[in-house]
Amino acid sequence: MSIKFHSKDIISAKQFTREDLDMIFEIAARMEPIARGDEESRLLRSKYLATLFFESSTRTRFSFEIAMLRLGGQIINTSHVAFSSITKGESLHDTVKVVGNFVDIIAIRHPLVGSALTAAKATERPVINAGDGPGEHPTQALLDLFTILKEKKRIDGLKIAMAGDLKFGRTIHSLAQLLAHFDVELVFISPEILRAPEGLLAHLREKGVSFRETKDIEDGICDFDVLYDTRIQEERFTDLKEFEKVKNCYTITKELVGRGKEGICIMHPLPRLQEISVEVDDLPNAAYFRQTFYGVPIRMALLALLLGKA
Amino acid sequence: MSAILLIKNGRILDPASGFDQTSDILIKDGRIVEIRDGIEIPTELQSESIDARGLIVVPGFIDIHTHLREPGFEHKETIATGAEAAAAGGFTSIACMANTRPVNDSTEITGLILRKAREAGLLARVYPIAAITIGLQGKTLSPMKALKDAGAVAFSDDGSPVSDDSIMELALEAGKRLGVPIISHCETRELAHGGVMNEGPFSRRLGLKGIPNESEDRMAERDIRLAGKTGGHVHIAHVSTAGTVQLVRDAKRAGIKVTCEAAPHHFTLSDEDVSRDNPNTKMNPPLRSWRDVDAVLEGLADGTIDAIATDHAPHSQEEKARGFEEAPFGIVGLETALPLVLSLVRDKVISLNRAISLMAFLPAKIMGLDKGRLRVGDEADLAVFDPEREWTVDPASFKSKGKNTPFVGWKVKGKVCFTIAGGKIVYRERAQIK
Repeated sequence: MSIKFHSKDIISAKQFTREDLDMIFEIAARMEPIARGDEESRLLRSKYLATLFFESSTRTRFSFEIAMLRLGGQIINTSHVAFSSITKGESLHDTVKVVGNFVDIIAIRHPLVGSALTAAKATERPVINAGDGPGEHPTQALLDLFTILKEKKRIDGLKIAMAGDLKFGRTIHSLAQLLAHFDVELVFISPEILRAPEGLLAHLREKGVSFRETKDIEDGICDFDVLYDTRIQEERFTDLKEFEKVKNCYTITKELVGRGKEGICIMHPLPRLQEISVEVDDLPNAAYFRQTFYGVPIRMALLALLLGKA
Repeated sequence: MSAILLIKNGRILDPASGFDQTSDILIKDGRIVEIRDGIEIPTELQSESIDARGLIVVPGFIDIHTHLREPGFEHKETIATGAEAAAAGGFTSIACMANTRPVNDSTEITGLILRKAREAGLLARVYPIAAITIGLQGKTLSPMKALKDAGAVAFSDDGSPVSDDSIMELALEAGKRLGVPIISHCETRELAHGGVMNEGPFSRRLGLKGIPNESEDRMAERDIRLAGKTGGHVHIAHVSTAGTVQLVRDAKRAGIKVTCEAAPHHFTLSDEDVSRDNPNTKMNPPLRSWRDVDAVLEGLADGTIDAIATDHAPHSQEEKARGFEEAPFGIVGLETALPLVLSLVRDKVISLNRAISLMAFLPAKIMGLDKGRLRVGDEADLAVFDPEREWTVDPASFKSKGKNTPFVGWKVKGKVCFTIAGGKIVYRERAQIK
């Protein structure tokens, strides 16, 4: 039983140490047979999770909810219900404080940066950030890293490439921060206008992580152990002409994967549009659907830890 | 002068008769003399009256499986402290197992237990269960007839299964002649040997040696077969596996004289709750899988399981602190049973009526005791409880010497307010003292 996380919040990928990550992954690995339905658990019986989603994200919400349900817990959520207090103009602080009086733990998704922290301050109950707009999405970063561990059986010593929208893609930012705890080599692949922010690169330099930037997805593909692709998000562009120029700049095809290193692991946070051809889905390299599954044991581990049951 | 006790305006629930309504009970000289609405007694008479508005008045609970540890292990529990714990849990009758030191395999020990119970002031009636075999060795039958005459109500080598089929068969035959049940602790020694928890994914994860379901099922199968052969009454103690529940269900359908009991921990917790750091999750039979828990719940609901019994097994804190593998098996149960049973009612597993029946009338019937009901003329053994009262389990407040409970810190609902044995208030919840 670990007490470090009991009653704490999960707000940012920055909060984890290497030891934390190792522990979370160990617990998540134990949760896997339960997540698959092969073992039954009622670890969190009599506990209630509220999934407060102020913007829709069916996959993330389902993943949290099935994690809670598989552990025998109960859920209440905001789906199908017009958020009356919100439409009446109640502050986020007040809403979370009220919900915190009903339930044992809260997962919150909100379009505004910093909203998860605001929520965490409003209640004594543990709060998990399920994405605060362009800010952070720490459980995604954890499941991404866990996927790499499961697929490649290790993290240290890997060469990991990230492609697509590195400027706005928060999953990339959070994952790169977590990877900085490991001995890895990073390759950032993006069009000029979507380069990874200087702040992130400076952080990696400071941490002594070796990385390089390129515009060409084929540049060094025969060396990558992992290729993490992301969608170029139309909603982040103010000038649609700019979007049109870059939206199809990378397409991962069966042919491209064939030229990659043997066993290259293709990841994507989903939803994917044209950036990965459907023909890739059948390759053993395509890890992106397994990746979404790994979100379940990761969230189970976090729920158990925060509720003092792991 | 005669002692009068009046319980007013409580919901009187007597599953045996089907009586369930708000009314008054008048108790005089230790017996129930009247049950009707609006009983008034002149205030000049020496009397006590309990305002039971919002409370439920039921027959005192009967626990047919406790370990009182005296003689021999008085540091764990004495008959007096055990009886006090019983009263605090709403139990007015308890049957105690024979694994004392010396073992209760002689009329002297049976007599000693009964004398100690009297000296303790009859907080709860104590019914000794004597050993099936001398010294619980499984070799020679105890003097069962003499023991029954001395006051033993049943026979059991609880904790030490009778491995020899022919001895068990002889015991069942003797039990049949004497009209008493033989209580079987179902465990197959060679399968359970060295195990400390349920065998399954959790034992493998914790690196602890497992006790397979098979250990219980194989012995239950044998005992049921012998009961069928002899016509004796076998009572299976603390059923913990889906397999044994099914064996009992089938045996009952086949007309075999078999009854069984389940312990609150076996329908509340599973092996998922076992932690190396918590030796109070170690008992025998062990906490089983959720599948087994569900089977026990089903058995409680469909009538396969005849009684709820606590297997109250006090140990000192030092003994339990030896680490999971070294710590002795067992947990206390008398003072936490009611809220755990009531949670089954809230979860709609069983009705309140059946819950009370499983704790009073049905266990009495197994033991051949004419108890567990509320009839005019009966000895007044009652429990009065508040089904809505929430409280936090704190072993420091236990009357039992044993503080070994896995329910520490649990917020539970349902509290005994008064326990009345032989017409006397033997337990009064502190908050009720006015």
